[in-house]
Amino acid sequence: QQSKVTLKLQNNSLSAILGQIEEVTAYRFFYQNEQIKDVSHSSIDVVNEDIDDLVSELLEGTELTFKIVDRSIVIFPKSEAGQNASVQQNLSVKGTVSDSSGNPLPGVTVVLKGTTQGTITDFDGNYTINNVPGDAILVFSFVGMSSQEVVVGGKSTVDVVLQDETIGLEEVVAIGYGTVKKSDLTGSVGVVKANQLDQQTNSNLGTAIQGKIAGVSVESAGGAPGAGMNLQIRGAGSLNNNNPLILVDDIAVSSMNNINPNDIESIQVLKDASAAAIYGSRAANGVVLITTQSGKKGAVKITASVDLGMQEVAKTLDLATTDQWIKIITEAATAAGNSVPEIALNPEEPGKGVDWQDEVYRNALVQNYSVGASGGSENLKYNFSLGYLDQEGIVDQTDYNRLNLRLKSEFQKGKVKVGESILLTQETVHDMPGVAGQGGNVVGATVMMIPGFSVKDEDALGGYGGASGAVLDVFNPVAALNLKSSKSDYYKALINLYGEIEIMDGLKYRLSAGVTLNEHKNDSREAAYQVGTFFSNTQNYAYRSSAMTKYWQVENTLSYAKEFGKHSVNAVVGYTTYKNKYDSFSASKKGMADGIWTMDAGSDSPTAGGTASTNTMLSYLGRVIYSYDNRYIFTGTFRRDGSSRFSDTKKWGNFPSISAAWNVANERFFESMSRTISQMKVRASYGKLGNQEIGDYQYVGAITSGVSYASGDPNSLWVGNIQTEYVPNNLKWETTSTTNAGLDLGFLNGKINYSLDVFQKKTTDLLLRVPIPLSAGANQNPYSNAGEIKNKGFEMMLNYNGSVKDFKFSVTGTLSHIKNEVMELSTGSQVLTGSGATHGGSAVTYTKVGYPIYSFFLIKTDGLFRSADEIQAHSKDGELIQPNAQVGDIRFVDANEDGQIDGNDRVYAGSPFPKYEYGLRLEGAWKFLDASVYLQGTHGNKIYNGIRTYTESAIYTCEYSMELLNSYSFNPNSDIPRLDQNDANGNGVDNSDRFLEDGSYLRIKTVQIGFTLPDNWTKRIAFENCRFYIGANNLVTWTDYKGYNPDIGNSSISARGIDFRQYPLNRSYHIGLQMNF
Amino acid sequence: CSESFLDESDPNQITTAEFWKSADDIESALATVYNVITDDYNGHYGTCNWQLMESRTENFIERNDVRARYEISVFQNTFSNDYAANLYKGAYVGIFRANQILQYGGAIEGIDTNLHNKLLAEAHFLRGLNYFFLVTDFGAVPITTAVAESSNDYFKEKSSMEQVWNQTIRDFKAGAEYLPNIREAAEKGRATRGAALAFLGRSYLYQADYDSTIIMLEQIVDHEGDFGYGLQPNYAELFDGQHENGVEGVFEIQYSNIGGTSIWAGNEVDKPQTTFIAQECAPGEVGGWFEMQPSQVLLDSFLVEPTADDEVDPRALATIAWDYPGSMYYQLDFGATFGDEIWLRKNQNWWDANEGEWKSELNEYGIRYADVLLMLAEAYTMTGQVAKAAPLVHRIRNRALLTDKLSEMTQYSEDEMMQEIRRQRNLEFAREGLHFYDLRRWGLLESTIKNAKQLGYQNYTSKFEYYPIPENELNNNPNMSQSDPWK
Repeated sequence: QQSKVTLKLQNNSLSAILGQIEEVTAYRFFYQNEQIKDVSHSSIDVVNEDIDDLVSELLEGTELTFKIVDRSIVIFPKSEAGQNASVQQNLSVKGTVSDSSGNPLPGVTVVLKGTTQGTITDFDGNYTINNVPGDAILVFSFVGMSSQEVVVGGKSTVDVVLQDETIGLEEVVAIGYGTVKKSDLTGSVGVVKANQLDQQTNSNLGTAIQGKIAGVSVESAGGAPGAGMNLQIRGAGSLNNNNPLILVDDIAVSSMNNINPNDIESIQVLKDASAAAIYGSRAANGVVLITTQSGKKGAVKITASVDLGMQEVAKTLDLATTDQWIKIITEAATAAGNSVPEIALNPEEPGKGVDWQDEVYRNALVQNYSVGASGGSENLKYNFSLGYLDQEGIVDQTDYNRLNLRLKSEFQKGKVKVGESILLTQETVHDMPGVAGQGGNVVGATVMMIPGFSVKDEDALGGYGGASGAVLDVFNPVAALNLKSSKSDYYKALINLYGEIEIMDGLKYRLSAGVTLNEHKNDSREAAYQVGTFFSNTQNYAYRSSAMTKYWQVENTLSYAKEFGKHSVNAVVGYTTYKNKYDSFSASKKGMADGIWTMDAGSDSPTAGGTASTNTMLSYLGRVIYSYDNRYIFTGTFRRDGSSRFSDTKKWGNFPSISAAWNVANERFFESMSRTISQMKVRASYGKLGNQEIGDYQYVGAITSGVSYASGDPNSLWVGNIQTEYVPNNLKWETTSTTNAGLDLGFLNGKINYSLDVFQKKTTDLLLRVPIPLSAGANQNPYSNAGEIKNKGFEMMLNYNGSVKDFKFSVTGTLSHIKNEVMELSTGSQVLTGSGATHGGSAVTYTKVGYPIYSFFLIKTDGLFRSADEIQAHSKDGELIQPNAQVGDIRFVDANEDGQIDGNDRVYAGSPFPKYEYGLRLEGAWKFLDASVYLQGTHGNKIYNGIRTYTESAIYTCEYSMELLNSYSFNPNSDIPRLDQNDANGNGVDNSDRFLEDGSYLRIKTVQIGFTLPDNWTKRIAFENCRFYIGANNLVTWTDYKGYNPDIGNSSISARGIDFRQYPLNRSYHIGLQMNF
Repeated sequence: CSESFLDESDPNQITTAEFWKSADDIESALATVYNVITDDYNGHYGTCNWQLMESRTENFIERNDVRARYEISVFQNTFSNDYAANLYKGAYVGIFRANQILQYGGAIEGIDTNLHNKLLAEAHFLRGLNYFFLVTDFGAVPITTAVAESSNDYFKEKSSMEQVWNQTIRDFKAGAEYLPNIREAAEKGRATRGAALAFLGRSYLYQADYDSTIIMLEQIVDHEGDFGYGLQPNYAELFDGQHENGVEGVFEIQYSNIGGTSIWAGNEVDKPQTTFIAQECAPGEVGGWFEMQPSQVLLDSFLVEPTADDEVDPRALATIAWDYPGSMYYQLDFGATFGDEIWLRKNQNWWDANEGEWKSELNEYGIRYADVLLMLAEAYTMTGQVAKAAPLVHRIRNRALLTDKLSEMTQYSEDEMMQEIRRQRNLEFAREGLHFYDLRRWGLLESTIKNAKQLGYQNYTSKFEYYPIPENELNNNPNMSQSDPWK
């Protein structure tokens, strides 16, 4: 906060001068007009003067004195000094003011509405105000918080909880290399504050911001413990990398997964080109600025919290029992004229059989602890925290734990400031081990494992049963979890040091140097086993790998902020360098004795591998924000980046942007409306951003080594070297141009806030491994700049803060809509083939001009044939379109009307990206109770259910869905086709829309009810504040989607919307305790 | 910092500018072309394609678990089929590599002329081999004989089938010119002049140009001693892993457990030079994935003619396993374990307890000398020279211990002789990937599949003689069009 004042005024009354000071500082004055009306000054000309000196000067020679409490300055007669207020009254009201987390708020202004009579809360948040009429209204206000009005109604005690003002005008917003007042913002920036993160029950930062920022789409990356989230800002603009640039305390990081949500002060998302342009070539997908908590001036605060949660699989699939399975397989085999497999004749586990989901999923505990200390004085501010998270996975044997240590401090002496931010993390993850066979992974195997097979087999090497006979080779998932393991340890350090010096008034030079070190170690083991007849491993096997990423950045910036009367300038220029080095190695061996897993103990099949890479970047940056009279604001930004990823002539790229905003509400003509519309701002911006996420050395022709063969008698290795890919010509930056228009409205003095952004984002020179014809013979397609993608849409946010007597509540909703369209691709007729959902199956997603990126193209189904006549009628020029069809088979739509059903009949069937995403947050507090509910959902996205292609097609001999008991084979009214293993009609083909489902959902994502112990209790036990809560995550999901979870999370852009054995999301219940000392 | 801060070079790989300096570079580049021929998914002689070649015939049944492979075996495949696309791509990967050798390797100066010619001849042979794969599986495809210099060069037009055959023959001939008759021990397994001539014979035979077939194959058969060729005395020895690179291996695909150790590795360097076809074709009881199983039709074909001593044809015993007295399979009593099933022996490690770690070292045959003899016999027969064919067929029957019919066969009509040749080829080369192509050129594909009521026979139409041009060629090459039967 600004405590220095620069002011030049002539011949003014004291009240006018105080008004001017209020405009240029964060201070607010409180006084009785009567007492100061005679004071005036002929001229004021101060430069950078301390506020208390200035006020003393102003009051010199009067009978008045003043008191500064935080950001409020109260002026009162010297005669009243030493008293809180005058003593002449009959009715006096007192009480305590605290913030939403129960901390007392000192310095809150309490005034009688309609007067200037008032007071300020003391250090413990207490106030007393005298001479209050019984029907008076008290107004509580504090900068950064919503003011509140309370009717006294004859009470003598009025306690108040003030809510943070999330989009308060005076809020300061981080925009990269500096901050700006929200009112001066011209670009589109989304903000989430700590108290909106539900961090008590959300141990992952991605989960914590899901749905909370309009235009930011967050999708889970599977429900595995420690799994991150996929973040996408304003749609998929690129075909290679859509991850935003994430900075934690100004340092670029590859993932925010290891950050403890408890450490967050705020998250700002720079969405449009104007906001993000300062980050140039890395910013095309938007920028996420994460600021961790800093210390604040004041006494030491110690916080501690504990959260305990129980997680369970949110939904299980209805799969057949052994008896039901036998019924289905017998029907399907008989229809095909095949014999039934041995396991159907003699099941190892007859009757109900094994419930594999029950064997694999478990109730899992999650524990989260943190302690922190913060505080500060004039010269030093500090914030320290320690966090520990231990999360069991709902899949047996999987878990994640994380230890966070964070230290952030700032030292100031005179015009020099130095500080640091240090984050150290250690994470350990036990992932699901990979499994061979058609289950694909443990989740797939759990669903596909036939219930007739036993979990254990005492006689088998390793002790587990497994699939045998003429069935799909699915690995017993319980055996996989117990015989194999994959453990990863991550050691991460983020260290940023800075120094700042104020060279002259308003001009500062800042040097910051940061480094991140990430070490990832993997330790994978596989014991010797024989699992059923398909899977055997004759020797114990161990694999180790270690990968180190070292990144450093040095940033020099010179910034200048100055106000000249009604003009204000805020400018920054900078020069920065970055270097990123990666280095890895791995080794494996076999043949260790049981229970021994070190490399030296192995005797057989040694392997070793490793790679290294480096990339560098140099940048120049600059930004000017000019504001006139708080009404007109202009921002111009420029960045020039040089990258080692491009050839000499293409290394440099320029990224400019301009934007403007008009604070309509500050216009004179608007004054009459300002009672209802307290804020109105229109914004517009345009700019260009880059994307260089293509990996290193792509422009150089390389020789691949080790493409070998055996020759000679006896054979020896004939080592081969060759160029396997073509070298891209003239590769350059991918460029995204964004046009943004925005409107911010505030009603009823900030009680209601609304903001709307409409944008168009056009990505050109798309960096992409454009598929070249197979006949070119390249192993992998070369990168080229090919094509154009357009994303347009809107996003809005509406917030209402209200209160009814003691009950305070707020409602915040976000809604965003994005339409994605591929405008142009390479050769024009180019189609990019995406991903499939079965082992060795056809692709189901394609990228084509005129459609959204990687959308579904499938053969349409049109119900079942109910009679032979219907089969006959489905013909073209007298020829049957489906000659192999029988009654009860699916009728497919011959879209191209060529008389046959084949791949050419695929038509656009929907997009994996939602048309709308929304979030709704409800909060309420009544006395010592508080509650919050957060709902989040998507609308209009499609999901291809890859699991059903196995469990419902009946062409594979694996576990089936109970749905099949209701198929046409058993029930002629059914919509499920008849069962037939040979399936000559193709009912089970993986390129029809049979398994494509609506992925829309609405979810109660978090619920929390809290209870804050009354003051007089806590004080007695040395707490300042103590809150208990109970909560739940992912409590209810409303969706038509039949799989585990519609928020499937497939990180590859071509496989978005394909549900292929994702780790299911959990539902969790929490209890917790938060304490302040 | 200066601008040089932005100069980074790849520490993992050398650049093209540093390569192509010596004969050793050509030599090592050649290995990469062989590498792709044996690739599990992309290689004509890789794990998948043995199944694709055989499961489309009446002799084998493919299991329904890998969708794309099953589709091919029951004639439901479309242009989207990945496994066919893999083969198409694999052939062009080989061609891209061979083109680099011919273009960049050919331009290297200072290499001994004989050595240079020999190395380039090997590249020609390998490029011809890949065009042979393409023309036999896809028909009319683009021809590319130079390395693409700019992105425009990627988009080749389709050549006619005849032009592709001509390119194939040109390359094989260029190979035959400078390749050695016999490779020294250290180079065993690499292309020889015999291999080039044998593939020329096969190329002409597939085009029904019997005169040219005879010209090519007589150069081998009339001088078999020069090449060291002959028939392995005992048929079973061809597949026992003990007689590899023997007298019958005209072009033998090499497999050994050397190199990397992980068969699923993403990098070639980490993969061993082995195949897992044996694991794929083994029964579940011994850790196999039973992807492909011999049919009753095949067993019945073997049992038609017993040996002179009224025993079962030894080729039956070496090719398949079923329940006969004393039948042991993977050290198990066959009848007790597998009942009335039929399983594969040829190129399986059936003498072991199981397929172990899925790394089979058994070589495969690209062309074996018995094929050269029977191809020549067929060409003689088709040109009315049945008497010249008879001794060749006799050698095959003789090795199979069948009754001596030499004099009888000399008197055969052309039809009778062709019938005998067809029968012998079916029994001699079962599982060696030739039967589909044999039936196709004899015009017997449709009738054989339908008569045998092979799985999916209802779906068969003549368009399945060739694969369609894959989706990823059509989608990415504006100059390319689908083959006529698939339009």
